[in-house]
Amino acid sequence: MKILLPSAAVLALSLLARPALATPACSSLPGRVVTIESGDTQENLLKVLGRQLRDDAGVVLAFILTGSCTITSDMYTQQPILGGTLLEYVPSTAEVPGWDPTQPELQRTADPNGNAIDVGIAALFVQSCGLGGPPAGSNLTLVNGPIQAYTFVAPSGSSQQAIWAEEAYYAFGFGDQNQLAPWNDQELMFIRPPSKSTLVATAANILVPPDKWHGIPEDASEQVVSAVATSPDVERTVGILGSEVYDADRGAGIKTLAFQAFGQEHAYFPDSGASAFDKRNVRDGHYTLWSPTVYITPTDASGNPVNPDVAYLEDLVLGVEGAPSPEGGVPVDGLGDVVQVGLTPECAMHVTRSADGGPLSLFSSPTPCDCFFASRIPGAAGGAPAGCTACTTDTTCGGGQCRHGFCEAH
Amino acid sequence: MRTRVSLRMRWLVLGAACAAMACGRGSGAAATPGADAGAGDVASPADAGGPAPCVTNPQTYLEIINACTDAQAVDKDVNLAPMSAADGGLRPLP
Repeated sequence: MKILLPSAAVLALSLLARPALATPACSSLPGRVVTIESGDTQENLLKVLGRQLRDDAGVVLAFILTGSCTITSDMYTQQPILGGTLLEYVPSTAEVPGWDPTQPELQRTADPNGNAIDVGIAALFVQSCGLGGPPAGSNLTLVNGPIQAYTFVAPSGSSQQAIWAEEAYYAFGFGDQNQLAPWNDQELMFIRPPSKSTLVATAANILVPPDKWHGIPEDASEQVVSAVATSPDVERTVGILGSEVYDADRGAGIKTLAFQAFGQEHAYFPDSGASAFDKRNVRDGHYTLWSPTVYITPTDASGNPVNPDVAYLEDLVLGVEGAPSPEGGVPVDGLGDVVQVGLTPECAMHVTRSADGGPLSLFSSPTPCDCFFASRIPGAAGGAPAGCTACTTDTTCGGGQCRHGFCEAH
Repeated sequence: MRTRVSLRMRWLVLGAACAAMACGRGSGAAATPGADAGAGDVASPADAGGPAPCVTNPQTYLEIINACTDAQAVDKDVNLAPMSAADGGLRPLP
């Protein structure tokens, strides 16, 4: 199935409807601008990483947030971001000293002649969008980044704790015609449009094609949070979110539901428990609602991103140790940012898959980072996690290897 | 619970072959050989009303998702029969 996508031009026109006449262009900012089109699930990462890159590497992440399938289409067709389109960016400490990632980004416009997109960040296997691989001769390379988990959410006051894949199939596939309680009122099902990774990836796991979903499509994740949290019928309300969006909104009147996949004996949360942040069940395969983020970028003949700042960005989110900033500056802890916002780096995964909703298989990272991951999740006590040894060189690791400050098996 | 087992058979048809242990939760169902049958060891055999089994050395997909863990598991009973197809599988989408 091919999903119809709004082009960047349409998106730009919609954005232009907002008052932007007095907004200066991104190119007027000090530093090197990296223009990004990203799924909105990655907003928290872009905010956290964007602040560090502004302060420490002289890089400005300027981005628009849209659906992963739109992003893929735009990259494949080399759609630029049209001149005047409003872009989000994170202020430097010098610009706004007190800014933190809980606050909104600032805005600038694309340059009058438009901006080529340096990197598109989708949050699913792009093949799920029905677009196939990059067009021949496009020089685009797709790199799998951190793992993005998805989750079903309910109001905090709901008695529901779990949802089976079969229940989700009937709830979202039949809507008001679903005869199973409690999720059988499609006015109380808060979903995403069929171009968004949250819906497309979840769809692949419950066998309901994106264009067959019932529910109220919300354009932004935060609108799902608000709609679920304020629903007057807590028992019958359900929504879908990226799990890191949920993590950032814990305590906002919603709770995550444990998920039981087809063929599974029990339902599990993304984390080892409802209140944990360790993504243990994502990492070991007990929780199946996840996809990789995918960085789509033009590359040279060697496969390296044409824009060296994009190469640096990719190195940071992949946890490449010692990755140098193209023009110097203070090292940025990109892997720590990934963990902080609720994503899971591939180096902390023990299962993998090759398609959204596809079967999991065992995976052993060639550069594991389990201890670093455990040391950086929200609520970590600090220092070495249980079973981990802090290190600065391999010599203290007893045959293992020192990675990101901790001894790992190899 | 019969409905549950039938749905899993549907899952077999859909291409995610069902391992023997994963198809018999609470039903005492006999092993169902499948493409996904792996080398994992069943830690606690299921019987009627007994605990669901788990796998101590998971290798295949169904063994991985049903591997033994001390993570919080949530169990619920769902009667899918009102929506199931005549053969007990998933009813086709409208």
